[in-house]
Amino acid sequence: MTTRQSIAGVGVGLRAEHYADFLDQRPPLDWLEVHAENYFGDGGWDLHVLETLRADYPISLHGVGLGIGSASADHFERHLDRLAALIERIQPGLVSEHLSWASLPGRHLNDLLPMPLTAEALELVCERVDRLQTRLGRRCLLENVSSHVRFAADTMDEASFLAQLARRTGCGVLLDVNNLYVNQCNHAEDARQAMAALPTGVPAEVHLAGHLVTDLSVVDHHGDRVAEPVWDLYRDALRRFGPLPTLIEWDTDVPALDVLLDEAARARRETRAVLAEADTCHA
Amino acid sequence: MPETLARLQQRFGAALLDAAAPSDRLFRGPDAHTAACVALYRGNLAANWAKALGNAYPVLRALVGEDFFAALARRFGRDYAHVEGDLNTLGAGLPDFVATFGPLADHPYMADVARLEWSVHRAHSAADAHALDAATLAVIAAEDLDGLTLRLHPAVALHESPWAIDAIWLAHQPAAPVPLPAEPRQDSRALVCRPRWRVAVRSLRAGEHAALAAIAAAHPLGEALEAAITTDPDFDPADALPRWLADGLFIAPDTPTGEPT
Repeated sequence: MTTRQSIAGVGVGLRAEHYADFLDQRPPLDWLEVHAENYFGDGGWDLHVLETLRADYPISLHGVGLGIGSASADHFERHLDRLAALIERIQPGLVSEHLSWASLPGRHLNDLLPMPLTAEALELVCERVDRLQTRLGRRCLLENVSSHVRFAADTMDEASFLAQLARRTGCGVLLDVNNLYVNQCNHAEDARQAMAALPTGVPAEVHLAGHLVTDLSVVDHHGDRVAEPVWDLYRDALRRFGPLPTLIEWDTDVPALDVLLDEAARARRETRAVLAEADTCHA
Repeated sequence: MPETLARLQQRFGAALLDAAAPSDRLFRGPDAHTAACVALYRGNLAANWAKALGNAYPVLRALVGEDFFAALARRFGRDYAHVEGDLNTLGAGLPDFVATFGPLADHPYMADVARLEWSVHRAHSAADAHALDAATLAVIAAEDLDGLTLRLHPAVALHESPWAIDAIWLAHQPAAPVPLPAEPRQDSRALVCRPRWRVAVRSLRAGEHAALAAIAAAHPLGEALEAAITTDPDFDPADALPRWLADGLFIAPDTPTGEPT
């Protein structure tokens, strides 16, 4: 029988470019994460690879298409049906989505669009997260997203929104440290204050990725190594929340797997260094 | 009275779909800056459409060129609202769109090439099934073979076109390239299959196509082979059957062994 897995340590996002490396070598990683929608098909090579690797790596399913904060519910239940079927098949260790919206009546925009951060939006997302967690019978994680805009109508910041969401629904937060940094650059929002607004125990996974600095805005493009200021924030996140399952994400111009393994090794070193600090303090 | 969530998202969405839609005072900060940021999201949307469609239609993209394909994707994405959160399903309607797309009117074969590509795309994620192999077929008594009704594997698709879509598709593959046909006007029949997980396209003669079309329509094997020989007197079942089995075209009846593919 397939059983649910537990996830700890450092993983990478599994991308088709690296299937052969994983199948041939089983590189030393603690777990793997995939975009759930890439495995929504009925069968075929992608699902076969995922089911094969599942025997050796715990899997995290990371959704990018639910658009949980969409006022329109046109696509919600159907998408949830597909997600539930995949979860049944894979029995992942973690299931996560984004605090974002994507669909209008009759049209899906297929992007992680930033939420209006209002009381009305919080009510809606709480109700949707309840439906998600009830349907899946498990705790899910919601990720903070990067954004180029903030709504004039906003009445709270994203971290307070997520903290209230977690308190009311029991969901966890997938803390994307790179997104916090991008929003600090784009909106002068203090990333460390954002982390301070989240109670310990709420963040249950960390994402680390590269970004692109442009004249107009910092873009969370997942196409580069993790930047130094983001590693600084990661250390502060570990100091506040303790060791968390950590993912290296790379989606644009995916490099050789060795580059991702190198980033994963750095995440392990940073974690060990922060744990050593804690030991010294307590000595 | 503050704007509702639905209204805020509707205004943001409208600005993504139409550069002329106003997004004034929707966002914090100077309108000129936020308008440029909305343009970033608008660019993402178009890039996501082009990427998802390019993934499903690499031959069409190669035939029309990157820039034309990006413009085609923008028009299609805007005019044909996608209704799913899974971008892999974007593009089911592209062949029909291509057939009526004015700028491609001089290239009437494009729509059929696109139809073949959509079958290839669907084959990648079609359901798994145990394929009928020669050993399983061998235990069926010879006198029962004619009455045998075979079911096609979920990844299998058949195409027929007045254009050389098989040769056009094959000419764009990295392995075993065949030259692009000089004249696209040529009747063709193509088979999409997925032996051992790898999606392949085979060029079919008329007789072989007639047999497989009959099997797809649930006619017994004997009738299907008859249809093939009627269409093409040179059709040889002893040549075709082993190739069909090697390509995993049929689902094994009951008690399969080994893993599905």
